[in-house]
Amino acid sequence: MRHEVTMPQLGMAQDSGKVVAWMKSIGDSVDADDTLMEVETDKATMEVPAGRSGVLAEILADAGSEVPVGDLIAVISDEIGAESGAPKPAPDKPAPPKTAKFEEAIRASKEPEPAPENGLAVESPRVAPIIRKGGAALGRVLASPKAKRLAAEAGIDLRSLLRRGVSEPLLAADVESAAVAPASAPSALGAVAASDAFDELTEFLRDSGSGLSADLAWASFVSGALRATGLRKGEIAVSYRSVSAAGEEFVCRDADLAKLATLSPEGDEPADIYITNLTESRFSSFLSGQGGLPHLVVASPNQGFFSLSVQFSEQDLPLSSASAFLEELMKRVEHPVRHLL
Amino acid sequence: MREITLSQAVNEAISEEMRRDPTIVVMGEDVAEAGTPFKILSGLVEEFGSDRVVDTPISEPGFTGIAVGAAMTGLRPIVDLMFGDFLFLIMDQLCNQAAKTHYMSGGKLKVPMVVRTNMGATRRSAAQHSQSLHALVAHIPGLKVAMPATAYEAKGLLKTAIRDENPVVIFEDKLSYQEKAQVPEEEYLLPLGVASVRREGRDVTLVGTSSMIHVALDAAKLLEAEGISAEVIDPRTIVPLDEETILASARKTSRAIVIDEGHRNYGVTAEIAARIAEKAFYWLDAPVQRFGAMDVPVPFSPALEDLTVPTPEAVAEGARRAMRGELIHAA
Amino acid sequence: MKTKLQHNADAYMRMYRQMLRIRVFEENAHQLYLSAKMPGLTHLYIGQEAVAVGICEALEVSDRITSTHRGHGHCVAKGADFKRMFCELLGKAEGFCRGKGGSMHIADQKNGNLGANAIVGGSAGIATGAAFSAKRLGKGGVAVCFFGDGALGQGLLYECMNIAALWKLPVIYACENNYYGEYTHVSEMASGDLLARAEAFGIETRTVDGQNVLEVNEAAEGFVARARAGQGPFFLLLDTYRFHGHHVGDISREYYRSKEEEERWKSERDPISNFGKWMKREKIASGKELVKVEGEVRREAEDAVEFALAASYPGKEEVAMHVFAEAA
Repeated sequence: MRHEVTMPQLGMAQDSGKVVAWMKSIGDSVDADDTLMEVETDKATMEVPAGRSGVLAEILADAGSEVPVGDLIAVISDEIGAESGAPKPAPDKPAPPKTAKFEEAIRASKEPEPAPENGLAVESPRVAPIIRKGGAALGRVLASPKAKRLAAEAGIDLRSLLRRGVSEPLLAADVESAAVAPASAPSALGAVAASDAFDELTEFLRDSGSGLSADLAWASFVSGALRATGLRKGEIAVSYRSVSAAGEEFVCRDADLAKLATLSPEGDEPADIYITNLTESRFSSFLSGQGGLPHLVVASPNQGFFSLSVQFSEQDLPLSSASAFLEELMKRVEHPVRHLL
Repeated sequence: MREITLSQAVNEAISEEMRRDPTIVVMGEDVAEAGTPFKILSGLVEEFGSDRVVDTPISEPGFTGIAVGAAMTGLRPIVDLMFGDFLFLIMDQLCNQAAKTHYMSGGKLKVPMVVRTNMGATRRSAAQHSQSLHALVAHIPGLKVAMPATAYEAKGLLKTAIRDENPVVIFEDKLSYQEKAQVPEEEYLLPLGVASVRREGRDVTLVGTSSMIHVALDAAKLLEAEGISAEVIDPRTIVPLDEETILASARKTSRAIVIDEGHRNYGVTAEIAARIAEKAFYWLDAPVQRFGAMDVPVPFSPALEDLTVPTPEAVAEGARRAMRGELIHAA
Repeated sequence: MKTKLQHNADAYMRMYRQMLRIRVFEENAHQLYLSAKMPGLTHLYIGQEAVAVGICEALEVSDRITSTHRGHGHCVAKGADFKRMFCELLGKAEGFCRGKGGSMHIADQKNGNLGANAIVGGSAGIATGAAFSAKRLGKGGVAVCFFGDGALGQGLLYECMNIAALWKLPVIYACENNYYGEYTHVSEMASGDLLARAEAFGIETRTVDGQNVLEVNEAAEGFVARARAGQGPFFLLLDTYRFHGHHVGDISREYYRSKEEEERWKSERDPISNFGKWMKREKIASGKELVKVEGEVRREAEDAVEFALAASYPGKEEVAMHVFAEAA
């Protein structure tokens, strides 16, 4: 690695500085705090530290020469024998004044973005938005400093509070109640649905070359079922993972509305529902053990059928709602094309 | 206990100290027979004579500079700066001379002087007679800054300031001059740098300087009715600042609101809020909120002027929002 | 029977020595600065020595002065020790201000020097306040406020002169007119008559030749005695000249004053050599005696510089000390 050393600006109205002396020679190892050189400006002579540790690889301004502020004067490299740098400038060629550099920089900053070559505006493909409310947008949980400290002390994962439906920002009181009230064991409701139509869709998507997959279809159907049941209003975020070689994992928002949208996989943000897809594996069931938000587990233990199991907390979701959701989901899985188009 | 006005408390403090120490002199515009436009110093010239209660020309930099020189050479002047707004006139003498002399002389010279001035809006005095400029001087190392909220503090802090070996600027709230408070008959001093916990509470800390302590106390009453328990702290002096008392309270309640009548930008509220954020961060359950004078020159019209100062209602609402966790984007 | 001159010979020798001490001190300060051993800025008093010495020789140790950014001369004239002065200039712990003031804030409280002031005209209040104290405490003290012609543009001075006149304070405003405020001639900065400024307040004024230490001293003696008697304040206008630039780095200065002008002042109006010649002429001192004095002064300065260069810087713990004074 090469580190460029430039003529420092040491005074208020200083355009250039004179290298009085080099305190190190080429090949010397230097410490960041070592004085590398003495520089003279209109005010005084100053000792300039190297600022980097390494080996002084090149000196590009001889002692006694006047160099514009910001110009390369030396190179410090991480190790001996590192690649050589710019050729030494001819001593009689004056370097451009500093102002020119500023002007260049100003010009560059003003240059407009190049227009598309064909002159047409390129419409960016619609991407299913994956930004969520609150701190999730930054990939973190919004909690007060005190809540964070208390959670750390009690060994509580703040995300588990979000999964239980506690709204951000998490406050100290939320953590305190979580610490005293253990999450209730989840309930589970299962069903079996015919998979032939869905399998055809999967095959079609795979062959279409569109980049779309069954993974998105699951996210879309679950979103749609939640919306149709009226269990969630506004934006609906689904956290999806597939237990398979590909191990697809993402969070997406309003996948049902995005229809055949392109997905960008994203991290583990809090969601309204979790999906674990076992259909690409040999597993047939999974119990998450997490309370709070509903969790759908999909498997295909027998050819031609999906087993659908929704795990939920009866405190948050009555059995009647869970069953309504499963009904809606089965409709979509068994008649996928109708719901996608 | 007897009750006296803030104005009487100031007068008593100066009289008692002048009786005790003959090197104390009072100087300023119309301090002698007129007793100042606020009639705070009435009677002093009769007791101590015009050699010690000295009327000056209208020359704030001049008489402040003279006080600095007098303080360096054996007197203990109390400068009366009629309005806090005139601080801008004396900044060089106060900040370049008085504040730095002890330090620049390596501790050889001292400037034991007091500048008494005032602050506070809503007296319909418009932009050049209504400012609260204590943050200006609090920024300068070497100056102490006291902000008495009631007659009790006004007397105790002023007596201490007069005995201090450093320049001390005291800001009295000009709307409080006729406010009464309990003040002991017997002599007492209040130390600089010791805050007063005016009310104990559990849920939110309200730090209020000078007359803003009344805003804080009124807000606490509003909150009490809703089951929110506010602790109210009067720092009494902002230099030195009793950081420990404020931090201990913020750690206890997990929420803090700072109220000061100076402009909100770059002011005392920012300083205190920053210290809480720096030193009590992991105890906080809500962002620290600040209430100060609006960042506008003080308008004359009562309809406008009243909008520029913090109110108990606004502070109480801030406290409620902090309790409810509604300050993700705290204003 | 001794003549008056012989009677005063000791006083004249002392004035000569004090002027020389200022000159030699400043020459050494100049060298320290040029050789980058002295940090910051420095403003040399060379050329104006008769003003500081003529006035300070008229004062008691307990009388107060305030000084300017060009203040080494006042400090020496008021009795300061070289070693502690050089230490201050170099930022050393043994300096008068423990290295916290430096050249522009040097103060010597024991000798009544309330400090140099880097705000032009900034000490007018302090000097007037010292006079106010002196009057109030009734110990007969007098204060002298040294300032340059540049300070005539500052309003504070006029406020203070007005108050001093109203209150009849024992203060002498000593205006050292060296003709240039920084790089600008006094005629471009002060309109009207300089003395009339003070006279407008009813202050008695006098103009003296600031290159003539005896004339300065005689005027100062008169004003000091009368100020002590309660007849103050007074205003003394001293015609003088700084031989060097505004500060050490002010080398190319022909754009504001000519080399001929500088040469004329140096050759014809040097306060020290002229006073030396006068002493020889009047047989107060021989050439040999004057050379001896100079030798002593130079040795004193050399020793002090050596001492200061070897002295320690203040410890890091001192940076936060002296912001506030402790209770007495």
